[in-house]
Amino acid sequence: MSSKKTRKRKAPKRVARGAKDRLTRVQTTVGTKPSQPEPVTLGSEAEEQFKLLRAAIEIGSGFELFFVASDSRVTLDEVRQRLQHTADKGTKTHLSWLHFDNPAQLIELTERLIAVPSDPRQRILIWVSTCGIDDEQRAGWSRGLALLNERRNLLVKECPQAIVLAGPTWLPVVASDVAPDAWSVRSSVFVLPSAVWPASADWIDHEPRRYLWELMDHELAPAEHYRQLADALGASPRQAEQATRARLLHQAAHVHAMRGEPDVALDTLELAKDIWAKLGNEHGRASVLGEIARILFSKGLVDEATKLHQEKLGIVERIGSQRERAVSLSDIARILFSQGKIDEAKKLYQETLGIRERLSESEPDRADYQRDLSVSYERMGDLYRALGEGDKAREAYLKSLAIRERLAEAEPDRADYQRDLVVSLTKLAVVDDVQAGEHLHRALGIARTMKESGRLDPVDERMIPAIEQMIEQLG
Amino acid sequence: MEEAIRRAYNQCKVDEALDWGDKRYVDLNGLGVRGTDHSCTEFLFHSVEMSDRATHQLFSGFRGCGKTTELKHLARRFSEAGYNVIYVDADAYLNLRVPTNISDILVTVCAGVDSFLEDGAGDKERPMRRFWDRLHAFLNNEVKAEELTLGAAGVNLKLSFKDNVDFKTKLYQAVQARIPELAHECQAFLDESLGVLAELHPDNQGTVLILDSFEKLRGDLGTAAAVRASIEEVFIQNWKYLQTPFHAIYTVPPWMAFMEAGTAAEFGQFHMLPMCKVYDRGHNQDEKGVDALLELLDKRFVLDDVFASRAPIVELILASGGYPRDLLRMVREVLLRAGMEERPVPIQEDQLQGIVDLVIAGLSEQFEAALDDSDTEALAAVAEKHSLAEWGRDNLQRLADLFDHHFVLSYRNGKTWYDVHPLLLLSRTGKLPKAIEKRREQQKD
Repeated sequence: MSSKKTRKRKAPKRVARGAKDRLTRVQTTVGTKPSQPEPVTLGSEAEEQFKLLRAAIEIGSGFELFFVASDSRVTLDEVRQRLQHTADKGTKTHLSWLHFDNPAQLIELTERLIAVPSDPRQRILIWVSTCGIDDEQRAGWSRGLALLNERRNLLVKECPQAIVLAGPTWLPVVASDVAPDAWSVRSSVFVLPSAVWPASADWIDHEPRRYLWELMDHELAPAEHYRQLADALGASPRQAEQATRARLLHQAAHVHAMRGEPDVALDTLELAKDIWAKLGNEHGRASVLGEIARILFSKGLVDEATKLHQEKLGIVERIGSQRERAVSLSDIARILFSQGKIDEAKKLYQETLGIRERLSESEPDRADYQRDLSVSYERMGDLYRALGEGDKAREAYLKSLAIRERLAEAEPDRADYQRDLVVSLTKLAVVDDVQAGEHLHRALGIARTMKESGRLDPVDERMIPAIEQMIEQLG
Repeated sequence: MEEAIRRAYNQCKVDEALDWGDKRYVDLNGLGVRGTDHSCTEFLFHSVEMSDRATHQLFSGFRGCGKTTELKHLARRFSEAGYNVIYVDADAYLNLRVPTNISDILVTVCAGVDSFLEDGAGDKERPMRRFWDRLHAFLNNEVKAEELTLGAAGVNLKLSFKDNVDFKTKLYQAVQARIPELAHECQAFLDESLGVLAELHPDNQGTVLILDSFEKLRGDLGTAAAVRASIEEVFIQNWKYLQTPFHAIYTVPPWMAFMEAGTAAEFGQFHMLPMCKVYDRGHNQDEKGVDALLELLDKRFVLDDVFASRAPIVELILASGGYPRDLLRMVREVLLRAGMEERPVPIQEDQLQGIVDLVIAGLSEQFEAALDDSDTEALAAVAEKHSLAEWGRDNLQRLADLFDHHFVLSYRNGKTWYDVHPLLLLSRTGKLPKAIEKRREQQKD
């Protein structure tokens, strides 16, 4: 099942995090008491792995290094909570939980492990975990494990405890790559399939992997953060790590561009482009070309931007990605529109719309296809408005709004869907004299709610006074 | 859970190098299962014994093959033969993640000698100035690097050298143009040390320095290529600085065996500790090797007390490729499962066989997961030809990675030969067996 399909599920909460805070915060919790967990069935294979892990902790002595891997964060949490529960029941084991809220802080892993106090009366089990975007975790673990590898002898000597490194299923592979000394003295690796959840948590198994581009702008860390993580993967010969590195560089470039540093962004994107080219990954290369073109366009380099968009278009047509083809056509149309070439722009926007209508009809459950379609209707609305064809513009905006309302209803926690609603309602108000006030008041209400709940991107806060002003002008 | 299982589990830990006198030690060299024609440690020992001049030898081996254990026993042997043995763990002084430098190694060697003298002097007053004080003076007077010496005399300098990467970087930059002077300073210290050692131990045969753990120098993903280049530079261009006035054995990464002829010529033969041979090139079981590894296990716990049959254990031995650390890890996994299932000892053959099958499959999956598709073709060539001839010098880094993963193991039987780890051939999805099959079909065509 595709992770992009519309589902009735809780999306991960988008908690506002200041960029600076994100770099400096390390949440290290030692011996935290677990909250009362809802009973969870791990499934027969994972249950057996759990029993083995528990037995290994029980019978082992001195330094032991375990890897516990699962692609389900909740499975890992469940295992940790069970071990904690066992420890709390008066066994001779004490669980210390080192959780790194920011994967970049895994560079402190070795020091943190050594600093866990030993206790002659009981065996210490140190559970190490992190969280965050998949790419960030991969880079963070790479850096932390490389350092741990270097100080492996010291660790064995100074930390005669049972250490559990818990993470996604790629964690053991990364460890074998970047930390061969530590890997060679591992005790055991336990791989747990995703758990079978209680009814109230049925959304968990379907939680999509979050990629960097799913972040709201205000969730972005400073560009240096992504750059450092990308550098940590440096000369890895493994394709997965290089793809991660390219995505991190892409993200660093995105932040540079937002920060008003287009030239740095372009240099960084060139690095990412080279990596995708070496990997022979046309999707990745096309994605970077599109980003470069958008930055060039923002710098007023229209011809260069158009050329790159067309190069990207050629790639996506070759690899047969209709969705990406629509994005390219839309980007080119946008440039033409800005140049006043309305007819040419209209032609491309209509072609884009046709592609997106076909895609959304073929897979109506896919939220991303639906959202793309809403964007196309919006663009058509913009175009008709520019042509002075108010009724057609209104019709297009209404179609866009209808889709967005469905998406927002299905996933009310998605801040980006709420933002889409605000945009749709505001644009609709401009071409709908009769209900303009109603649309604007609704838009304002949504924006204010977002702000109050910390889900409004700071750069979007200006939308509130702007809408208020529009209402005032309506009288 | 049976106490015998618990005890056996803890006797098979994979992170221990065995010290002299450890009852678990099995002399695999002596048994001739690391190659009947050639025993590395014998060669190292006799090269020193027979030479009337200081010898400088390179020693290598795959991670976990027993290198440190063998070096510790060699050190003891030298000691019993009347040598001062200075055993330096490079791990204690070098930052193994950043590119090295000849000054790095010189300082490490001197630091090791300094520490040996310090320990040997006991309560007596030290007859010569400490190395760190000399280095401090050198930096102060010759290099005039105030930022390096300010408040960093003696012990502080030692601490900075061990723990402060930034300090070391500055140190290298500062002495870059003064390498000969630094080498001269170190040489003077070592010469003087040699005299002191002769006075302290007038009856001794001489001094042997063993620099262990240097082979671990590999860098991280961002620095691996630079680190490898730096090692080449040390051993190709700056080898003369490593000609200490006493015998020295330097451990180096295994991939150095493939550097062009002459690289290690100044050091005489390059000694690589092979794996225990459990089968020959035709994959026929080598009884002697298998028996040696059974003995290795038997010295850790009484095999027959725990296992009712040895046949499944022999399967583990063959699956390990003669790599002791993987064998111990698999035996532990077997014991763990048996313990979890509350099996009584001795574990009966049918039960044991079921567990052994699961353990081999599990570890094989781990190997398979770490195997990158881009390596299967080259590994298929190794499996067929038992040589690394198809690996050019340009691929040294990738070769180093394959050694690190133990995808390729080395053996010796008259000459050194290579094979892929048996666990790669046993995987369920069979990436490598498929590549081998494909290669055979291509050759037929």
